[in-house]
Amino acid sequence: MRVLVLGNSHAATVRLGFAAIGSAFPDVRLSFWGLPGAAFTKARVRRDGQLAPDAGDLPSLRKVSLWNEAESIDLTLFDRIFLVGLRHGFRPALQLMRRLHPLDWGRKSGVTGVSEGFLRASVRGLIDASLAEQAARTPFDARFAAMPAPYPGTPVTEDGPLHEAVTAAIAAHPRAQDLLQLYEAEIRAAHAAHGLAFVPQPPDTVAAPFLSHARFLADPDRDGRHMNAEYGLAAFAALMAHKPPIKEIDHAMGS
Amino acid sequence: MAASPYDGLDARAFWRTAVASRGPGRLRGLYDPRFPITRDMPVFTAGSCFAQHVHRALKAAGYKVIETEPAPEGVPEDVAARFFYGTFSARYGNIYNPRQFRQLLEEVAGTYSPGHRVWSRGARFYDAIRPNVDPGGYANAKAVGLARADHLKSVAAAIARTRVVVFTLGLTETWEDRASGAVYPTAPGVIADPPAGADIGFLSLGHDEIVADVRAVLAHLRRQHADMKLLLTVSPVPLVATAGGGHVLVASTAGKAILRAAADTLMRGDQGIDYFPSYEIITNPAAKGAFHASNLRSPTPKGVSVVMNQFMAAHQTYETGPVRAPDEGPKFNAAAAATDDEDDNAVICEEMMNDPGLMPARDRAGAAGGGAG
Repeated sequence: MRVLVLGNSHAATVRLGFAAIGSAFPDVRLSFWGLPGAAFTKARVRRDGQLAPDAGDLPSLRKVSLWNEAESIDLTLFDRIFLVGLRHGFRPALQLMRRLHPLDWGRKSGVTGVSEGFLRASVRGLIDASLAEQAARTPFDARFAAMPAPYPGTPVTEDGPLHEAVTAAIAAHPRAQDLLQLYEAEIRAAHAAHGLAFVPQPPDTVAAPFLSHARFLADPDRDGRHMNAEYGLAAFAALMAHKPPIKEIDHAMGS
Repeated sequence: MAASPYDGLDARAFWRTAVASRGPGRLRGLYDPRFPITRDMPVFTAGSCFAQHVHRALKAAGYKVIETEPAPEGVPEDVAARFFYGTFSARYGNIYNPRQFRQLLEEVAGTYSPGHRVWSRGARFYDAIRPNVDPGGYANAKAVGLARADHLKSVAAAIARTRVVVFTLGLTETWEDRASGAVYPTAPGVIADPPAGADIGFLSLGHDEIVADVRAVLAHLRRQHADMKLLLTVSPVPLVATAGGGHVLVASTAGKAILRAAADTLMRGDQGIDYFPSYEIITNPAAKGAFHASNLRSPTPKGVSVVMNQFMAAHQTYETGPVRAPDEGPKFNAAAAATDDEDDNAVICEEMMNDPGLMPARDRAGAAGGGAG
C-alpha cells in the first residue's frame, strides 16, 4: 500500500517516525511531501494533477527542495493520503472560547454570555472556513484522512519562554473538558461535512484538555508545539487504523 | 374661468408624469424629510424582516447605526448574522408589529412582564419573544432567562443613545397570550411550544391599536430624549401566510393598508414622526413587479438599492445643500448591503416558517432564511 503523509511542520514530525513506522508497517510504502505552515497553505493541486508550491512565492520555492525529494507530487499515485497538521483555526477558536461563555452552563463573570449553540456555530464556522480553503487547494476524496495539529505540550501553560496565554487560560477553564468536547465535536462534524475522514490525536498523547503530554515534544526546552518520532508513530498508527469505506478503496486502487 | 387647484402643480403631483412615464427606479420627490437624519445621528433600527435591509444599508452608507449587541470579535460573519448579532440595534430579532416593540420597551423599563416567556421543544428552551435569535435554543430555561436579562440591558443601552428610531411596520397578524396580553413573533408550534395550559391565540391588530402602540413606543422613547424622532416605513413584503381564515392576498392587502393608514395618522398627529415610502417604491406599478423576487414577496437587491438611494438622496439635503434626484445623488452600494440571491436568503425571517411548504421539516426548528414581513 502506498501511503503519502502530507502537510506542514506537524506532518514533518510524522516523518521523524518513518523508521519506526517502516518497521511497524512493513507492507506500507511511505512517502512524504510537505512545506512549512504558511507555504503549505499556498500549495495547491495544479491542472496537471500535481500538488506544487505557489510558484510566485519565493520562500515556498526555497523550502520545497529542502523539505522534499521532488518539487511537486502526483497525488494520484497513492492509495491513502494522510493530511497532517492543519490547525483549523485552533487559536481563534480558543480565543472565542475564552471570551464567550455558554449561558447553558450558567453565568461566568467577566465574559460575554452566549448560547452554546452560538459558540458551537462560531467554532464550526472557523473550522469550515479552514477546511473549505484546504479543499480548494487539495480536493479531498476517500483516500484522504486528516489529523489536525497536536495540542500544544503542557509546558505552554507554565511561566517561561514557551508560555501561551490563550492555551493556558483555556486549559485552566473550569469547563475545559466540556469545551474540548464541544471543539472536537465540531471539528469532527466539519470534516464529515467536507467528506474528509477525521482522525483525532491519539488519546494517549493528550495530557489534559487542549494539551499534549510533554514527553512527546521534540524539543521541550525550546518548542512547545512540535512533537517527536514517538508521537509520529502513534499518529501514523491512528491514521492507519482508520478504515475508509471498502468501495472507495477499491475505486482509489483502480479495481 | 377659475384656475383648477391642480393647475401649476409639480410634475410629481400627476400620475402620468410622476409614475407612468418614469422608470421604476427613477421616481422623484417621493419623500420630503420632516427632520434630518445625518450621518452623525445615532440611529436605532427595528422592525420586520425588511428592516434588516434598512439596518444593513444605513450601516453600509456610513450612518451612525447603534449596535449594542454586535457580533463578538472573531465570529464568522455568516454565523453572527444567523444569530442576529449586528442585525438590528440589539438582538431582539424581527419586531413585526408595534405591540411587540411596545412590550419590549415596557419590559426594559420594568413596567411589564410578558407571560410565558420560555417556550420549549423537546429538550430545548427558547425565548418566546425572540425565538429565532438562537436558532437551536438553550439547554435549560434558566439560560433563556440569563440571556434575556443581558439582552434587556443591551436594549436599554441602545435606547439611551438613540436620537432617531427607524421602525419598519411589518404585519398586523400576531399571536397573543390571552392572560398577559403578551404578543409573540411566532405562533405556537412553529419554532417551539408554549407551556401546557397557556392560552395563546390569534390576534389581528387594527388601525387604532397600531396607532396607540406606536404612540406608546414613542412616549417611552421620549422619556429618554424629549426630541426623539421616529421614522416609520411599511414593509413591502406580503404575508407568507394568514391565520385569519381568508385568502392570503386579501389579508396581506388589508394588513398593509392598515399599517400604511396608521403611519399616515401618526405622521399627521406628531411632527416628530415621519414616513419613508419604501412600501410604495417596491410595489409601485411602474416596477411591474420587478422589485419582487420570483417568490413575488422578497424584495430584489435592485429594489432595496432603489429604496435606499431615495433615502440617501433625500437626507443629503441636510448635509450638502440642494436636493439631488436619486439617480444623481450618492449611490447606495447594493452589493454591500443586499444579497444577490433573488430569494433573499440574506435576511432571516421566522414568518417563512408559517408556510410548511417553504420549510423542509428538518429546518422547522432552525433558522429560516428568506425575506418576509
